[in-house]
Amino acid sequence: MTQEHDLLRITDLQVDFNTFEGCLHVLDRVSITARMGEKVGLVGESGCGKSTLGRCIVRRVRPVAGEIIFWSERLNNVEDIVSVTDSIWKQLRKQIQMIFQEPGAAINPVFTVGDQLRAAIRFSAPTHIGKSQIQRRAIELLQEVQLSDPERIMSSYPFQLSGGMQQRICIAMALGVQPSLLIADEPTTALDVTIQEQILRLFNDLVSYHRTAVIFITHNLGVVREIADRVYVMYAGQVMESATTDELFENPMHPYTRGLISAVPKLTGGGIIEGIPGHIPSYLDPPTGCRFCTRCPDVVPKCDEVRPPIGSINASHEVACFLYGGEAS
Amino acid sequence: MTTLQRIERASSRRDGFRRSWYRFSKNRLSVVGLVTVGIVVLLAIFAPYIAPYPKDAGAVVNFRHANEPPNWSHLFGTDDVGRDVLSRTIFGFRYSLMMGAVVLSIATPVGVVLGLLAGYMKGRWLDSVIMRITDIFLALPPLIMALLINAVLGPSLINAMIAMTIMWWPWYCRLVYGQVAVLRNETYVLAAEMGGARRPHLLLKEILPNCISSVLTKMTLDMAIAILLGASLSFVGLGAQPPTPDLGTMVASGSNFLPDFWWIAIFPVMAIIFTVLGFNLLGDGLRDFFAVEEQELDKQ
Repeated sequence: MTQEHDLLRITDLQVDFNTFEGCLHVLDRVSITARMGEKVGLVGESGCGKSTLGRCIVRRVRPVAGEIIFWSERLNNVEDIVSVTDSIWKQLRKQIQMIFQEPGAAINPVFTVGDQLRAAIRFSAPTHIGKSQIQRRAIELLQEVQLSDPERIMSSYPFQLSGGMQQRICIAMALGVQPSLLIADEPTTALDVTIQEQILRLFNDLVSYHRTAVIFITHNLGVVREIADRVYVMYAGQVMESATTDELFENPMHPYTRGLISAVPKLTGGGIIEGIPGHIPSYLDPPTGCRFCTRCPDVVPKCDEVRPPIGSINASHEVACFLYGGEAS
Repeated sequence: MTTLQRIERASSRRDGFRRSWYRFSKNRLSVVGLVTVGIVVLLAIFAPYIAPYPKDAGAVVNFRHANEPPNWSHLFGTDDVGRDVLSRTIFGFRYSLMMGAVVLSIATPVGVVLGLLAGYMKGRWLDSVIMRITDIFLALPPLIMALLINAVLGPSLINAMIAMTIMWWPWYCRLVYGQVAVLRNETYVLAAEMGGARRPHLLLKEILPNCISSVLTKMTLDMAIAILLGASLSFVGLGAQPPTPDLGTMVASGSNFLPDFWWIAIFPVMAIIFTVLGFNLLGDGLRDFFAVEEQELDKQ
């Protein structure tokens, strides 16, 4: 794992929101990496800061500390997204695309799909290209996301299409820019299960085909298992555990990960599963140590005082918990 | 296949127009408003052909027929110098409409552009500068200020329009500002930005089209207020000067002959009411129309 191959390396990212109630410590020293073409899952329950992390990468949220190092193929250079100038960001941003939870909200309601798709192609083209060429590319993209009858789709307005179709269009627009990193923020959560399956498969095929690196933000462990090569488990703004997907599901180590996996409702088993008792701690005054200590079944006294260091179990498995060694420094 | 057929039908342009008309015409009053405004506009455009005595619009005297009450040859009667009140009222629509149209067609773009910039730059210095100036204008009573500006510039139709325009743009600035401040955080704006769209595209093609419906509604309603304000300025002698057949001026000169020769003032007043009511009904209809449309967009 040489650092040259890291497409994105986030180190010790810290985000605070100032509100009337006080300062919310939303992200606490989060570090994640994504290599070229790697599919990284980011799991955690609602409100754990995973979307905030995604919005930091696209500069919608300003972190108070930490860095987001992005390797730009086009500039052949690494840049810190947190501190780059606007003019460099203008070149960087096309290499990072985002897909959103609500596909309907990501398409402008007052224009036809074709208008927007063509605009997206025009902006992403390195040089000026002709109208017929844009049109051909737009049709190509819609075919790529398996929308039949592209001409008709292009002349419709977003609200005339179903959620699944809208999300396909969003994927087409994002991939049309040929990004090296795609941030997918719960892209299938708003869709029903059968459509979700189709979209996931399509998404998976396309990013593998284009070798796009993906940060897949979701609360759904099943989705992560299908998509991701590697998974980060987040809780209340801290990364608890990271491992390759198979490793994580076979050998979950952090008490939170184990709780999360056992809390997934099974289609086969009867009865309501227990889940994890308790709630996410307040971001106003979270424990200074591990933020899961208020709900952890295996809590030890020092947990709420000292942040457990991230320990490597093996080359591809890291966990931040005192249960697995790691003396307080 | 059925879904696609439905999409095809829905996206055909003529069908879209018919659907819009169906929804708009469900509210009877907005149709009344539209018809009223249509009549006023047609009368204004074709005034020289419709008015029975087109020459009476200018400086004509005909003392033999002065102060005649409404009769078959002069439906609205004649004024103190013997001009046909009906003809002058029909010509009066021209000045009223022109006043509203000119004022709004200058004030609206100015306000919209400033509001767009300020809203997009919310929190930066440009926002503060534009919006504080806007606030100052909004704090001044419009009629009094228009009177003042007009008095300084001197009484004439053009100066009345200038005065009204100066007092009008801040309303559009604030309307658009509020909307842009919300719209700029929409996901599709972020999506376009990430796709490499530059600022002019974001402002003009992503954000502005989503404000148009409320601007259009406000313009229709403001048309009524502008006509009233214009008539008020003319009434106090700061707008169009006699013998221009402006409705406000006609009311002013006619009011000297109340109540004996009531028709000289009352018919122009009724013409003003007719016009203002039409624009108000149309504006309300448009507001409902756009509100329903937005609900439908939200539902999906």
